Amino acid sequence: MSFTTVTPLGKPLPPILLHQTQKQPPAAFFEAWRQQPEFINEIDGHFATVLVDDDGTYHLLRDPLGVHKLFFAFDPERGFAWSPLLHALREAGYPPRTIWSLPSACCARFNPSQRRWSLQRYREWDYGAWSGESATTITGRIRARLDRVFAQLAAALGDIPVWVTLSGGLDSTGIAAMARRFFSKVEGVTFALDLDRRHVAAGEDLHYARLAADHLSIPLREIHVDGDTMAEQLNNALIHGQDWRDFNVHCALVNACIGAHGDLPPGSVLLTGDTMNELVADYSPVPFAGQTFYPLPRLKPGRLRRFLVSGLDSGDREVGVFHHFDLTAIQPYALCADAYTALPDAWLANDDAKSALVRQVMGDLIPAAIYARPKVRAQVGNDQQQGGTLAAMVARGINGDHLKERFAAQLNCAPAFLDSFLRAGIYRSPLGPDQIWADPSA
Amino acid sequence: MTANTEVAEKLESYIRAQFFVADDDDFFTRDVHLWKEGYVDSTGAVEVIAFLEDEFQIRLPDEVLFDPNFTTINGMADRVAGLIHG
Repeated sequence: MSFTTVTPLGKPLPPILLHQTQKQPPAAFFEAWRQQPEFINEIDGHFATVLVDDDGTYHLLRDPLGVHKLFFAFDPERGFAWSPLLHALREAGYPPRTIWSLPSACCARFNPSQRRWSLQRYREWDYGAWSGESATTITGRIRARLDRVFAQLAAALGDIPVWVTLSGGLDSTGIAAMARRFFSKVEGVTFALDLDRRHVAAGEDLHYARLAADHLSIPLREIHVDGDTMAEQLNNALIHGQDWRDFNVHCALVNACIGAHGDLPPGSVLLTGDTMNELVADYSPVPFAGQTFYPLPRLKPGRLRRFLVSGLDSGDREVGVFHHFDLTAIQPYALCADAYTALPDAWLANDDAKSALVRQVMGDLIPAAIYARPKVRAQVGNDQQQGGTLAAMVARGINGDHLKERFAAQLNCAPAFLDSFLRAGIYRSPLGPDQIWADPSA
Repeated sequence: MTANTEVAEKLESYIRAQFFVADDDDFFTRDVHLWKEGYVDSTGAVEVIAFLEDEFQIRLPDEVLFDPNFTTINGMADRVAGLIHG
């Protein structure tokens, strides 16, 4: 049986594939998976692909955390198509009701002529698997996992310059510290909204980003943007961030500003600290201007993290947005998800749980001032006063309803469709072939 | 009492309490579409799933969120009862 790769609609997104010993082109990895499905358990990375075999069966595959997106569509008139970009399928004329997503950590077989659809989950996260282990054992394992992922990345990428998006928080500083050890040329890039370069308050992200870069002896590229310039990136943030929910849009806006600024050479690789907050459930709602933004399910952190992690299925705030600007984003924490999800629930229970964990894993690779920094969500400015992207958007009347209507307009669909397409952080996938041929909710 | 009824009763009580459904809301029944009619939003959907999993010691797959039957209290109760009895 021979297989061919199905070219996606829109701009192809190069996969990031890691294997413990082998270094091969992506096509070889995917062919090995088709020949021997169990091979998928040896691969880590960010990837989404579709192969088709001789009898017209499509084989769909998506990475374990859903970092890369895989949307597909079928209707009898247009046939089958897929894309990492939802918008591309709409532009190709597929009606919203014909569009689906392959869930994270899944592979599927789809044969249109035989009306067959089967879905298989190839990986489950074992939450809390390390309960009962000592702190030293747990932190040692996490550090070993990070070391291994960075060694694999260095082997896969070769000796290229890498960039780190540095916010001055624990997550991004940890990535920069690891990158510094495994790559010979590392540069930081940071973003500041409406700041005077000469007068940076001690609580600002930029202050800490400079401090981290200095501690790690890496150059830091600063991108300064005003609120109006940021708002101009809203369409890019929505289309390529593939979500309308404010917490993802605000993050996507920052990345769109970095990409649009043009300081980074096309094709650059960016390592980011994203997904750590999901893996250790380190989020909280933000009160601002009499409202509560970024609401969360009312669950304890140990319970919440499963849903935050599965919610990574939706939204493309980093990879998709940077890809639009010809930049490749890699999320090393996502590649260590098996280690972080194994953390016992009790490790997540305290407000300073992440700081304590990172301190034990990273030690003095991260400067003391960053451990001591008051916790601030990246999109809300500094610890003295809520501001940042959130305030800039609220000041321009860009609220949740506006984002939803604008995203729906870009996709040329009704806002109500969005509620049926993305629910509780998951893009919709078909339960069986009948749904693909006739979606009763359409 | 059947397993479905027991699940439906517990789920109805949970939703009424957690999502502030008024006692005199005649529109709210065990067959009302919880998402479309706005009784439970996207964030609340996660809470409902967590409740069902914890209360009945089951694991619901993510895909259940798009099951056309998993939109009402009775539909959810059927699915959960099916999982309880394997």
